[in-house]
Amino acid sequence: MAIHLDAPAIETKGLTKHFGPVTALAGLDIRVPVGSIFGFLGPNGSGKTTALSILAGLAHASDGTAHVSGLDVQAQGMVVRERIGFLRQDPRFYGWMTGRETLEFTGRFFPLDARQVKRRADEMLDLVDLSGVASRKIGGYSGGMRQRLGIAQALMGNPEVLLLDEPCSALDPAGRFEVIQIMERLRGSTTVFYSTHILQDVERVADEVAIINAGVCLRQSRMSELLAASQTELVVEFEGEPEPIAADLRRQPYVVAASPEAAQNGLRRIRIEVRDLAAARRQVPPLVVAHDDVIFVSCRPQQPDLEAVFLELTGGASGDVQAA
Amino acid sequence: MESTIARPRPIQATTSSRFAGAGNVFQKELREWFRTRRFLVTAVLTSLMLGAVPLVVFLHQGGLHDGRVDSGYRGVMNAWVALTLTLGAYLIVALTMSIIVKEEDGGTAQWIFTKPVSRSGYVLAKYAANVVAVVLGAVVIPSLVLLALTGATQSGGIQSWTAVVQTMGFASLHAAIVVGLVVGLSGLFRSSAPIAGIAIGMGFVPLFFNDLVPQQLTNLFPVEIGNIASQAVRGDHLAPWQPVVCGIALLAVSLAFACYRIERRQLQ
Repeated sequence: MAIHLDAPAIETKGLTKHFGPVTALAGLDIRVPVGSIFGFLGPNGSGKTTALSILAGLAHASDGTAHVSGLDVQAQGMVVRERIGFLRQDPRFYGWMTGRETLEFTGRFFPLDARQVKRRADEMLDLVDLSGVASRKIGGYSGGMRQRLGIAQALMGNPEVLLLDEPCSALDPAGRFEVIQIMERLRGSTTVFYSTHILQDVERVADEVAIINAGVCLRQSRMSELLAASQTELVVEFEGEPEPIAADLRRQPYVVAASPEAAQNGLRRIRIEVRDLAAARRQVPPLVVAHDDVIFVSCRPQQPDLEAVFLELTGGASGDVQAA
Repeated sequence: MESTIARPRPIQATTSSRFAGAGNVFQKELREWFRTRRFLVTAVLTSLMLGAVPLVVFLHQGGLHDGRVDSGYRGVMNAWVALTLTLGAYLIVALTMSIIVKEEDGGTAQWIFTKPVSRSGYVLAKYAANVVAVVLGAVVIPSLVLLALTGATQSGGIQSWTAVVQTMGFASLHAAIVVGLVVGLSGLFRSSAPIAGIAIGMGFVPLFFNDLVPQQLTNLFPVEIGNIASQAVRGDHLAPWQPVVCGIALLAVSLAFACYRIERRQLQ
């Protein structure tokens, strides 16, 4: 059984899943580079958890293919599961086990001897800051502790690919920061594929992003390219009356809309939605300067954020997506 | 500083055995019986239930005044078989009806199935561990308590250890078949109520239809192993082994069916 060394970490082609009359995935095509941190975004019901379940071997695709490290998840499922770590959205463990026992139980599924299992469990407990409660039964863990334990168990087998379904959902800001830091440390050595509703976490750490809705991938690209391609606004700042300038701008062929905003610190602003960013950057400053009673201050592109991109692509179907 | 969680990647793919992870699941399952005190409660309750029988006979025969009694041995032995195979069967169903369903409902099955573990191995390991626990806790230990008290209260002591060993063997086999039936039904149903209902029903139905259907047909039900156990404890010649053979066949079919269904079950 060969592994294709040049294969992407994860690749799906036409991945489709029907649950009776409901289509959860309708031909999902994504390609995740090896060693990357890959954000998988989508509103509620878009198919993220279904896609993760198929990759983890919990569900079977109705059509299409899914490969992890070049291995077919259906035909070579056992080998795939030796190479992945998986954390579901609401991790469940045996309440009667302690944290350490849970990790050691997980470790024994992998080709590690008893000494390696114990050492690895200690490492993972340190990594997720649960060493102090390792001997406590999981029934007494908080939601955040359970989530951190979930990350630890997903890493027990030294996975090539880490699949995380909403890893930060049950965590406070400090906990989210720790999880993000863990993901940063894995960059390059382990591919991290995670779904989330928290856009700020994606912006902070992801190398690439795929935005999914209604079971299809709407866009996949590197984070920087995704944001750059969505720059369609200029903000011009000046001292003076905004309405005559806004009226002038609206007559320009490269302008879609010009919206004056409230004054701040004595400066007026007009937000300009443009069709041609380059033409606008050349022509807007001289147009503003041409007004005698106006003092021009600046004209710069508005930095888009991921939320705007996301809402634009999904048609505003944000579900419970959070900006922060 | 090098990350403690980075390591060189393996170059070659590994292969895994057909029952990968089964040993780990078996250990976990047994540990759960002891750590949750389910084994202790089962052993104590069934020991109290069975241990009461020779004590009641002893008291009824005036043992408190006269010491060890001369009669009642056969009654004690018959009660041992009856209680172990009927009330014992209900207890076994109650103890095991959720062994697979609760893991799927609770999400722990989904957790385990994302590890390199064979689902068939998982099913068989859970079966094996629960049989060990049930046989020890609901058959062997309580039976030993009953036998110890019988030996202490009956003037003739235990009349035939061969019969006792045979009886415990049949009772253990019956327990193993009941657990297997429950596991098989878990492949069909995803809630414990129908599992319990059918498993218990298969224990009772033959008793109701004893007069209506030929003996050969009722012998197909595992509860008829009770008849063989009764014959064994009386030291009678053992009847045809049809119930035993059918019981083992039912066990094999149940486990194979459960493995087949759970291999294909989709979870999310």
